[in-house]
Amino acid sequence: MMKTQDKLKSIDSYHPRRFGIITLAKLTVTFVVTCGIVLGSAVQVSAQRFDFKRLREKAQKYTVVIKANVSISSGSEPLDTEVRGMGTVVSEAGLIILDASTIDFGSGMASYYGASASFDVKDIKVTTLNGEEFDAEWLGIDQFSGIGFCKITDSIQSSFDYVHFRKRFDFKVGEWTALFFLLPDYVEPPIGADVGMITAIWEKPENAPLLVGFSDSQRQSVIYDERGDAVGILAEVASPDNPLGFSDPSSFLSALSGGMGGYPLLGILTTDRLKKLIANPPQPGVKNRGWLGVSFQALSKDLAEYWKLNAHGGVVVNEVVKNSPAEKAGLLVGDVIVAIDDDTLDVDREENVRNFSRTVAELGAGAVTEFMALRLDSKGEFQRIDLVVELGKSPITFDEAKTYEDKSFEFKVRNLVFNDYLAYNLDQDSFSGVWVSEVSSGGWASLANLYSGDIVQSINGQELSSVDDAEKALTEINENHSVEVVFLVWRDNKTLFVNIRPNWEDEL
Amino acid sequence: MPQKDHGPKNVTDYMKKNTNYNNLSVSTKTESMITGSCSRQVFASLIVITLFSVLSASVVVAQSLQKRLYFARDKVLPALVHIQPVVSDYRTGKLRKQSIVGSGVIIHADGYVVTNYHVAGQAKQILCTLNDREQVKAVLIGGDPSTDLAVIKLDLSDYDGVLKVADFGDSDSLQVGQQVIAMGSPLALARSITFGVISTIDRYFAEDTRLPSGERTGQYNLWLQTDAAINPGNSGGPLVNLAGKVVGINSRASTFANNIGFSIPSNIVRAVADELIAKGKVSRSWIGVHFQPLQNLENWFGSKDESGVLIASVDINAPAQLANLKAGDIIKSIDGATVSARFNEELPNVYRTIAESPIGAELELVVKRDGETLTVLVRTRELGVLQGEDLECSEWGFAVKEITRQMRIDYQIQSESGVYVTGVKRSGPAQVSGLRGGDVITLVDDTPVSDLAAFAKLYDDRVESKKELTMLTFLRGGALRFAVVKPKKETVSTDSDSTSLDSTSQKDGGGAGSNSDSNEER
Repeated sequence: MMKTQDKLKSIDSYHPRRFGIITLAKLTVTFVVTCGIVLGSAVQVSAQRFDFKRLREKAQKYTVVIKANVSISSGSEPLDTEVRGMGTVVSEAGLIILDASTIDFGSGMASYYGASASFDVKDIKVTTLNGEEFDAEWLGIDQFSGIGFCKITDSIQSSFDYVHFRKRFDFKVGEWTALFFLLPDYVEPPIGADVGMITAIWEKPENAPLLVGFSDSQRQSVIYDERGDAVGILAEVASPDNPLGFSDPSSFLSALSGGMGGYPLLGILTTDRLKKLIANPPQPGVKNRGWLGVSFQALSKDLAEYWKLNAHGGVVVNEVVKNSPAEKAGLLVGDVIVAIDDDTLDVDREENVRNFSRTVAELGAGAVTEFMALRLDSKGEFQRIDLVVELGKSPITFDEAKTYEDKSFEFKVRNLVFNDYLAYNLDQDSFSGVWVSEVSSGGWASLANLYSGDIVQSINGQELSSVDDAEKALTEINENHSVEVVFLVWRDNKTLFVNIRPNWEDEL
Repeated sequence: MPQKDHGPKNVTDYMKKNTNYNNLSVSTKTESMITGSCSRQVFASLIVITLFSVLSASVVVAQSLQKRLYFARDKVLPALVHIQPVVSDYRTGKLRKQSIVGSGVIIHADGYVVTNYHVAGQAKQILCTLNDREQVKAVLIGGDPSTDLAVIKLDLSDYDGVLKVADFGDSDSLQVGQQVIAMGSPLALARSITFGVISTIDRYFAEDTRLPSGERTGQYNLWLQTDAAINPGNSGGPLVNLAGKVVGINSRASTFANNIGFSIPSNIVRAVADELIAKGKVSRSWIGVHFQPLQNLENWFGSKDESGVLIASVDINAPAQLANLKAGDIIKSIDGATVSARFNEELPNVYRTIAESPIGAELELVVKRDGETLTVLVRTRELGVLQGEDLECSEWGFAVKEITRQMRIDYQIQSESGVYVTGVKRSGPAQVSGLRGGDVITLVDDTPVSDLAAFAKLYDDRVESKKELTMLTFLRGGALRFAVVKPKKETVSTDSDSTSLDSTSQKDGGGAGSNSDSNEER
């Protein structure tokens, strides 16, 4: 941030490129000054090239400051907090993209609460840099880019100014770029500018210009080139793996908190990718991302060498989920997927393996997709097989699962989700229970030594297969003022009984 | 609110919520069963001990406390042993040897020394310093992680001194408040004694307490608690009564408290040591159930005077599961003998009852389930080794271990075969290939890995033939993954003994401790 503060003097500084109107004397001075700056700091030079005043005039039409209330829940009482971030209107209908880490703005909440935290975004207020204010609704996060989406909901206005991105991909290493970002709210106006350089074009598995000079907190800002065109947004281009390829905010949150180790690699999310995202943004309660239902690894060069495969990359199927689209289509563990819809997969290292799940996700649920795979036959040779798969919807995640809160016992349970069975190696056919998602300290559930993360399998002998069962059992207990309440709990790979004798008198 | 941790279990959990104990009728039945299983020789010595105690008691009664302390000191201190084992650690993917310090006591004129499993139970080399400061080597006779005990034997071929042997006392006759001396090498300071009283005779630790090496421990015994100072390095040393008898083996202490140390009662020690000396291991029967005390749960499971043992959990694929036992069942009797555990402190007895029944025998359990009484037959199996043998594969940069049945349960390993990856060396061929600790290798190229021996042979063949690419197929969770291991072309001479005995060991009595124990085990 300090670095950026230093550069603030560049904002709005007007440096004409129209050399014609500059006198020779002035040119000489400029030349000397420029040389001095070149020697002093390359960044300063490049900053001088940007016409920030003009850029800002463009940007203020579609750049917005977003305020929202976020409720973070992570096992005990939910924490409500106000957050603030910057976003960009990307469609005429008022679709806004924002840095989803805004919800973690400044407080490190995600890292503090860990991966089991879930959040709820409410009361979004959007203010354009021109000072216009709108309400907006939260749509969700695209897990692969980390982009948050919300949409202006205004009863009068239905058409909004939005950013137009440059279409061609002709980035060069060494090229300078600029962006605007949000300053603390005591700075007026709270908008700063920054510059960064394209340091490399990452060619595999797909072209992505990598940037240096920007910080993680500036993500989702629109990137401008030296001509003043918007060329994409700042995004994390290498991010943690999520091998099963379905949206799970927990992995997203832990990625934000740096849980995956090291700094994210920042780059430009270019028009082609953005177009797909904008055309198909997440929708609350709607599963529109494609899901195959396999876990997989990259076809590394060593694997290809061992199997004598001539492929440039691909993914090796490690696990096929029961009743998934992959299983229905006949994919098997050990199959090597080398192309999707005739596009070859250039995945040859684990770092790129997410590219596969992203491709599948962006194809969308219901998309009929051709997979080309290689399969070992009984003679030890690989044969090409072609499979047509109708992609499904990803299974519901923990924060989408149905919950039940018991006011007397002061705890909350939710249904088990697909990922729980997977993470704890539980048998989906024989294991049932409800997940304890919240225990208020000092409440009866807490006094009974129930912990968030326990799985309650029965209450007073009534077996639970869903929160409806839990609600039924606990409602009965509440009505009857049961003297003794015994929970059978699955914890650390074992079961145990915990009990409480509620003091019903005390409650009255 | 503590978040649930599904990672490796740690050993610092033991202090939690075991506060409700009542004075138990310390189970003379089971204790005598252990004594009953002792050899005749020990039985004979037991009588001698008793006689001697009576004699000495009459002599010392009138004497001052100071004189009695000197008396006890002189009986046991000469048999105290300062132990420096070299232990192996494979968790980084390569064999790392480490010298640690513990204590022990000579219990037999042939040179048998009893100590803790976490001191010498996995030692490859053991150096002992006797009380006369002479050093001798020792070999491991056997270890029993379940009780955290081990027996080593001193190599006396070059020893010219006279070996002093300590006698066991009867830990069942100990009383709360009785004065005791702890002897050992706290912080590697050899031949130290500390003094205190027995604080509790029946301390219970949750059965999921684990040793630093990962084994579940403490299921079969209660603990003596003492305020005689126990520090790291005291592990394996004797707790001695003022009659000069060993009444416990000091094993652990609370590091966040003052003078809360714990000893394994001598009656348990004696039985385990006898079995280790006779057979090199302790065999136990196992049916795979976990119990929970009935206290506070009687209202739900029956009337207040309900007796029996509540099953809290049944291990997957264990004999109990095959016999259809369930969480919530209450076992009323085992082979006709009534069992009961209303309190935590009664649980070790019940576990021992099962453990001491013959391996492979069919146990007849009378079980109460949902108000009905039924008879269930369970065929016991041998508990077996808790953690498997290790193997370092230096050419491939990782270490593996044999998968035991208990590991299969603990780590939720679903495969019936394979070897367990203990650790992967940084930047080694295995790490580059994507292998990680916790993976279970099931295939080497196209050959199934049945066990460690099979794996070792496959590995040796490939190292010998300098095979360039080897495919390891392994399970990670429910996923079957593939790794191609490419050994480095130039075999760098690996120095696996980077931490040798000489570089880290403490000379007898000198300097600060180098005990590598966890903060619980001492």
